[in-house]
Amino acid sequence: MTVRRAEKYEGFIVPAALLAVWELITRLGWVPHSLLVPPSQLALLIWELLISGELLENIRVSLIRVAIGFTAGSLLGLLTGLAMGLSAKAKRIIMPTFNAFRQISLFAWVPLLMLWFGIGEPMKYVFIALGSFPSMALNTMSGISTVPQAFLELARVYEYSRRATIFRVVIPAAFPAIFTGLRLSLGIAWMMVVGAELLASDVGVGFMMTWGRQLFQMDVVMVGVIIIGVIGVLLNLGVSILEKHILRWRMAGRV
Amino acid sequence: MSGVELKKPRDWYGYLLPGGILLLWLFVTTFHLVAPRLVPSVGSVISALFELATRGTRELFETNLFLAIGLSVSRVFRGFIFGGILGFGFGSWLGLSRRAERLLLPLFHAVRQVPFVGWIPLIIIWCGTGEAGRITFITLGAFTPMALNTYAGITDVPRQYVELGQVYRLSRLQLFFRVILPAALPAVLTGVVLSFNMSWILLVAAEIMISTQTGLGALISDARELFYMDVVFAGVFLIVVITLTLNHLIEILQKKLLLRYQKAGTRGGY
Repeated sequence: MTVRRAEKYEGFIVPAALLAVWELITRLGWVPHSLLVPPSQLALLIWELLISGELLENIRVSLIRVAIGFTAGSLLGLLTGLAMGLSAKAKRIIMPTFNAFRQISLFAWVPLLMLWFGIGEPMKYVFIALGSFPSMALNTMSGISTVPQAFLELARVYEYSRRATIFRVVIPAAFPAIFTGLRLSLGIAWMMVVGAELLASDVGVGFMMTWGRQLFQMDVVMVGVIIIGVIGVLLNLGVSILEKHILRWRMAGRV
Repeated sequence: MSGVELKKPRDWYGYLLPGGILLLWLFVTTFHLVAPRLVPSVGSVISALFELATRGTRELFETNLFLAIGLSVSRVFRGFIFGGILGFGFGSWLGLSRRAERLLLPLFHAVRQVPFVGWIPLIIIWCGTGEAGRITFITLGAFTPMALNTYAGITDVPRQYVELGQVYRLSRLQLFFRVILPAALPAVLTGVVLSFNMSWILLVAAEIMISTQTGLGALISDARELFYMDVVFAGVFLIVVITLTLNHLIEILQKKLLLRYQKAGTRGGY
């Protein structure tokens, strides 16, 4: 797929035009700053927040929360996915309940979690873990159930034990799907932490936005939206790089 | 989700896990192994449901349960219909016009990177914490999957179909409604189902995160503040039941439409 040079940059035309209009109408005072802040002011604010260290501190706290909740949730998801992928019986038992759980808004559990765990850190960890769990389980399961039959036949030819087949054939073959699960659930975990922090917290990116909203500091809220997007992209990118690095061996045989 | 499945007989294995959880719940509450403050008894949750339905004595029950459910459902449908129509229009535009695709798709993907929840503070400032804010939030959620799936469905329509339509000298409008849209229908319907699911997910988020006075989510939030654990359980149970029922109905609708389309397709002899 070759793209002409000019076409490659066409995607920037509309955003650039939007930014220019946005800057203009806010500078000219057509839209009050309490509703929309000029982009240049946002850039300046990001710079200020970076220098003061406030932004990085909030991001750090949010990321630590994600790390804890996500690790717990995705591990649980991995195990559930393995069970469902490897055992037809486990799949028959778990899948209907799992499918039902997946459809329920994760926010429906918030009042319950608040009563069980309070509004402190444990509630946030459990909330994030709940969010990270389903995608991980689903992708691990589908990765295992789509392992090519030929791989299994080869394992039989080599007289692998069941255990060796699982650990040396099935799971490695399911790695790409497991990584897809990781990427999806990390994205959801990031959303969950923002949600949890919007509900109740005294530090973190979500808190920063709530604080800004309550003080009518529109610029802080808009910077929050941008930062949330950027960090989401960076997390996604991080998993992709990790995946490429770890799955190098898959490329080894390719000419 | 795209293929049409034949009806499968119910697998009783699926009842083991929910049944087990129910038994465990009965067991720990009848033998008082956990405080009722944390896990209310099955009986008290059932009676809370009755109290809600008949407007019992606790101050919370001034709100009419059926009114709350009706409000929540109507919010979902309003947001879903706004967002679905806008998403269908935007997705069609991106799919049909190469220029729109090149100019707008990168921007759309960039904006999409912000998780829906991240927009809440901004939506509150722009639209307030009232009905407008909630509907905007749900609209945003319904818009995205609809736009993405419509776009993907239209760009996947085989070139030959369009060329054949041009040979028959169909007008642009006829080409869209008689060739492109039917061919993209499975993807569009997937978009409908996904955006409906998303609307429900965001409704609950909106009713809990954007301060509310009415609706099912608000009812649970109020019950939480008063430490009525039985009412919280009853409310979550209602959300689960309503979500699953409506999602199931919309999937049946999707399958019916798909089946009809596929029959029409074979008769037409693609």
